[in-house]
Amino acid sequence: MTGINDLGAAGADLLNIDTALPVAELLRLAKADSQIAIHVPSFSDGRVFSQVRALSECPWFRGRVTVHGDLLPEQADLLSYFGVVDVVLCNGLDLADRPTVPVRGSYRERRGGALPASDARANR
Amino acid sequence: MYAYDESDRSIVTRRVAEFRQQTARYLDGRLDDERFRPLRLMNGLYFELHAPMLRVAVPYGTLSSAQMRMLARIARTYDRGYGHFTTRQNIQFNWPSVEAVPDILEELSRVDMHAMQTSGNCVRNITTDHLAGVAADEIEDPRPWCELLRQWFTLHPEFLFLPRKFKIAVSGARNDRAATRVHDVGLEIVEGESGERGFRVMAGGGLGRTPMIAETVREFVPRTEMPGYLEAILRVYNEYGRRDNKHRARLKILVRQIGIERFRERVEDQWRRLKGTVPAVDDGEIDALRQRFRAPLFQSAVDVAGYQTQLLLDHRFARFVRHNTAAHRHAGYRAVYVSLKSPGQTPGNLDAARMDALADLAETYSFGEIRATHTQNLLLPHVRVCDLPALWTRLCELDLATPNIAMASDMICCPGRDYCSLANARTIPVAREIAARLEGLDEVLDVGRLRLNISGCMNACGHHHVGHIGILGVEKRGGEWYQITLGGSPTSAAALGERLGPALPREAIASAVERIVRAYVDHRIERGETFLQTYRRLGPGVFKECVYDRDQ
Repeated sequence: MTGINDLGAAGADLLNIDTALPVAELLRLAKADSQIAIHVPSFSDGRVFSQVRALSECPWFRGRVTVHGDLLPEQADLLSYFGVVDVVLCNGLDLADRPTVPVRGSYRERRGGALPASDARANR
Repeated sequence: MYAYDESDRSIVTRRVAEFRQQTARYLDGRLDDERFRPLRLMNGLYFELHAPMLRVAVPYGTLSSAQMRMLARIARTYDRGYGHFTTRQNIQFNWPSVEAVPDILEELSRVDMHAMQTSGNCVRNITTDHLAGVAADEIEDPRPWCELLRQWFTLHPEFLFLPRKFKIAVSGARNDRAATRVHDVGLEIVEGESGERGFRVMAGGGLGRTPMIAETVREFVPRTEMPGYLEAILRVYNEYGRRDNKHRARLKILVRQIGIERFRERVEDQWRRLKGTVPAVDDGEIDALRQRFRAPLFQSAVDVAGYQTQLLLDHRFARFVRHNTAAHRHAGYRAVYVSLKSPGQTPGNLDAARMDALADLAETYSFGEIRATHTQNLLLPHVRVCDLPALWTRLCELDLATPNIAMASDMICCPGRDYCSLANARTIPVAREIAARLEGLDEVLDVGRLRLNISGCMNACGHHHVGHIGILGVEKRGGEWYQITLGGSPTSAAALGERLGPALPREAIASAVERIVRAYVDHRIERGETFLQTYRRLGPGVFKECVYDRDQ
């Protein structure tokens, strides 16, 4: 199936996927405590943000998400909106270069109702 | 007008600081061209043919006098003394240096302006009816909804790396002046069966290489659910839009590829998932936004005697009022168009001195408010009719009173090959030649409303597909050639123009346009029949004959 790499190869709870896996399929495959590693082939591929948002809003998902691949440091900040703190840049860029003044200002954040579960997941 | 609060200011200030750091990383080599590209584009910075270009956001086309003065300052200090108003109601500066852009953004932030999401594969500046809050045919002022969507989709973490750009237009009137049907998503405020307000949601429209008219996804989305429903559309687009070919990546391609029925099913499916997590907009929030777009304090009784006398005595003034002003819902007021299309001028361009002058005029005559229209003109929305003679005199002095709004010489024109690295052909000199050819013709023949749009390449920034007469620059055998389309329209009865025939060489295009206009005048049933009506009645035959018959 498109978007799944070595499903189960490292254990039943490990799900290696890439951004091609549709959100509905991801939610079908994920288990409550899955360790999900998402590979991003290119920084221009924004599908990862829909994937991690769907997981962050999924009421039964309590697992951990790692995102790795060709990412910009700025995108680590965006991923943190959805509770993803494990980000690995595989393109020679340095996470330390992410701006020191992260810009957050979505409408949801402005009205105080942050993105569901993001804070909780970030603290896990 | 919407005034920024501390939250808005904080976002813009931090964004400037962020972009300063990103630019420094690029300039010292820590970021390569490819990876700097999405970051600079999302801050409005392009690398164009001759120099960088900075596109500054004018949300839903509304500017204050203070903001216009700042644009003048930017033009003077960092550019070559002018700016170019675009069809997305934004303004572009064509000659800033990369190093200066963070400083420009910082200056803009002092008057609550920015360049966020004026480019890049994200939700772009939301456009609307330039007569919002003014027009009598309005069901509801769309600006509070535009502002809500601006806040909602600015820096929305899920939707900053979409397959391609995403354009939204909102109309609140019975007549669509926002070209909603040629946007990725078009929203129309409508009334439901019991009178409640909501939105007709259309998707998959657009111009460019594959022009398409949007199709309706849902006839009625309750207003409180509209932003969430748009998230469902964006989610479907983000997941299923093509990423392998930038020319096939817009939403319209996805809609065409899978069909509107299947697209609708996917959106509804996503909406079912998202509904529980996306906050609904409550009436209190939208009412609070409405308060920030309250109408100014209009004078209850305006003396019209002097205005009416001048209308009778001065035919030039009467002509200006007929063509360059629009009815206002408040008695004694009119909305006044400032034409940026005087003969010989580059359509949409305005120099710094006249920006300052317009800022003064807006303060004196229009409550300090200026609007940018999607036809690349400006508008003073609230002018007392008793002030029209004085305003007209001043606009004449500034060469901003050409009485040609919505007429053939009021052309939409992209920058073309003079500025744009994508263009195949020049457009600005062609527009000038056509304007010169048509000058005087309108008065003699009473041509009336005629939309003429010119693009320098297939990307269609000049909206040629929806011009009554559209002109597309193409490259052929190393030369610049021009294709003509006829019958396009961006209104509620939107249509794409039909190609008339083979492309014409540069030297033939202005006379071809003149012959088309003359053929229309010859064949219209009466003076009231518009070009579009005549074309739809007759089809292309008579126009083909007059353009391609060499004996004529």
